[in-house]
Amino acid sequence: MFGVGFFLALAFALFAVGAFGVLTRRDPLVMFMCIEMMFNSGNLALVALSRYLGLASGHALVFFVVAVAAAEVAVGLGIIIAIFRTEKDVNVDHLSELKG
Amino acid sequence: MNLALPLPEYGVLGLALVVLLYDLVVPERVSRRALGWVCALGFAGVLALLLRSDAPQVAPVPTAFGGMYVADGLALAFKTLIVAAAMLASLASLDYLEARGVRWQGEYYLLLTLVTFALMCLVSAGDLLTLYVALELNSIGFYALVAVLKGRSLTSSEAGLKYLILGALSSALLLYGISLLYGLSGTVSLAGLAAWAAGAARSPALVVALALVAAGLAFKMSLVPFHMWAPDVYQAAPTPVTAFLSVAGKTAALALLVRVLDAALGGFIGVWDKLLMVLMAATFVWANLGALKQRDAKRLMAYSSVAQAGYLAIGVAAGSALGLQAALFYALVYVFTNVAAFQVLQLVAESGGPELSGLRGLGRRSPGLALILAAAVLSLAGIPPFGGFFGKFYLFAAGVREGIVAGRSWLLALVGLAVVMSIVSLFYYLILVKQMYIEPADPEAPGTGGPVAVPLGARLVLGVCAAMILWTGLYPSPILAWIRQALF
Amino acid sequence: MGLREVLLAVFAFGALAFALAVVSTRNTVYAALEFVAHLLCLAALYCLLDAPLLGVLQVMVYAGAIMVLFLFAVMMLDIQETGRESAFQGPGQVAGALLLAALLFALLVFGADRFPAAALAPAAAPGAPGVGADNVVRVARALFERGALVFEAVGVLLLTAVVAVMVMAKRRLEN
Repeated sequence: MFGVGFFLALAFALFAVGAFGVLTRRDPLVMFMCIEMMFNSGNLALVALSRYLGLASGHALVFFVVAVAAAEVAVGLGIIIAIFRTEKDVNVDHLSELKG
Repeated sequence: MNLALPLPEYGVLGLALVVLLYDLVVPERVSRRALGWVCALGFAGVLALLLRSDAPQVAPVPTAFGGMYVADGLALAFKTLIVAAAMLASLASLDYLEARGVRWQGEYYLLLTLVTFALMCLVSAGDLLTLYVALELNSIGFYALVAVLKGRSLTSSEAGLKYLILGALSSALLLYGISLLYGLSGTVSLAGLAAWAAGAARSPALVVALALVAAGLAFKMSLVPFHMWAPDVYQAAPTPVTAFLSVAGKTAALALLVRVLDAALGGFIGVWDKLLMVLMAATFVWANLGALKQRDAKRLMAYSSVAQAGYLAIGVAAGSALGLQAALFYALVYVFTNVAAFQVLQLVAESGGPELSGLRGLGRRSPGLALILAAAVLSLAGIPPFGGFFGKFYLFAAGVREGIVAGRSWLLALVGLAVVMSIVSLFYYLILVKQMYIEPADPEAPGTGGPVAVPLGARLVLGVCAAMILWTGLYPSPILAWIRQALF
Repeated sequence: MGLREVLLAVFAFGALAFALAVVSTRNTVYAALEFVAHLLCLAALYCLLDAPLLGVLQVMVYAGAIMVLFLFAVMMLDIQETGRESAFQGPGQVAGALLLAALLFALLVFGADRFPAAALAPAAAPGAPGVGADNVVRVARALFERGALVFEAVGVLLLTAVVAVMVMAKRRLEN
């Protein structure tokens, strides 16, 4: 029952849930979490595939993805804080200076 | 393992260290303006190194770090363009940052050098690991550069946030595609993928993997519908950053498309070329029609840049050696024309504002600037005798030839659409020219009186770009010879 | 069904359930805590998939460091104040996103269903990344023998991120 297909299907489901969250939520912090969820689903697929391929190179990629994701979150939160300082509000709908 | 191979990258990293130490040692009250000159000189040195090194002409290309770093002619040629763009961007930033009183100049130049380093690693990637990490490294640098005017303008940080959310989303798509490719092929090296693709069977999982990888790369290239970030980010970012992002970011993305789709996954060209051509057709139609109704000069140029990305991708879709050469030549022309156009718009916006109407009367106020902008936009539209004409001609010819030789009628149709949309693009490029030469200047508008001030840094940028626009148009054969030698 | 299968089923269900909870919770603090639970379930799955090193990293870096950063930002910005109106986009966009997510899922499962699993090595292949010290050694080899360049690049990436965050979040003293 728990073959590679099961884990891929689980990863796909998490990917779709994350994509849905990014598209529907307004709070940029929750949007970030959903994006992290999508990264994690990619990681889960990599770990499952590594195991079934019997290779460790996928683990190395996951290692780097985690490091990159940490850096990305830090920069994203930095930008959100910068916006909050200027605007006192971080609802993406209120950010509409750019249109057209 | 040849550790001396990434010498240009070491040079750029060394430059980053110099910038970091300068910012640390020099007291806070001293202006960081000199760093712009330091960066420009450093990049010029690396550029000289790149121009002097010869592309390898025999089959096993030199690699380092166990094949993760590839120093082939493709990498060399694209690195030359990226470093040239970085040099021009540092020169353009000098007075721009100073005029706005940006307090983060040291960090700005540091991020600029680190992003350049990332782009250089990206075009040399021999492995999906290197590719992914270098892509994220340059994205993170760009997120901060786009938002560097925070506090001064909300739009700058807003654009940074939009860019970051959409950029991370596209990275997630790419990562998923990479994981599926890894699962199917059992390798992360691009050479290994190429060997696997030559004999592998097609499966639905493969189509899904290719679609995800193509989507992730299309975002970096800003092909429709993965372009949503481009107009906002281009408009709100500091103009030198916009210019750098639009030329260096895009040429690196082009190199990546060539490496991943043409070189590594060339065995599946019948699968991915349909995906890519749908994106390109959408790009031609949406970007060229969308540009017609823009009133902000930078936003118009953003739509134009999206359209130009579509033209560049023709070379990738053709998948032939000729197509690759044409794409590289067009990328070279595009770097210098786009930088020239953004530089003029930056100078004019200082006095006349960001609207198109700010250009009114420029033909009389500053004939030189008006002439360079006119040459740049006509080159982008593909009018002789400028470089853009030859660039588009080679691209379309390569597409038509591949379409006839390989019997790919869809490619022929796509080139036809590109030609039609190229004519449409002439309208909005001519709007810019009309504003400069025909529309009467509004006497009420601010700063429409005297000539536009052109500082030394901008003079150098404009001089280099104007020379290159003319050279690529009037006497392109030495440049073509250089390209052929690089892509033997 | 052995213990491993039971645990796999429990944590797989937990990962999916907490993911859905993150997407549907209105309160940002609760969403962050649910996300931590989701990450812990994934860490357990990694361990069960013979990747103990990644499981530990997931707990330390993701569930630990990254989520602390998230919670810190939530507290600092006091999002609750601005969260009075709906936490979601309009119904049209939600419906569209639902359709898109369902399509995406269908497309991906269509791909997975026909994933040529038969071509893959069986689970207990002799070269499988084994548990314990062997896994760590093998990942370390993959990281440092061939991946030295990437490791350096990650170093530069962290420097870039530090500088970027400083530019974004810090105010100059004289301001």
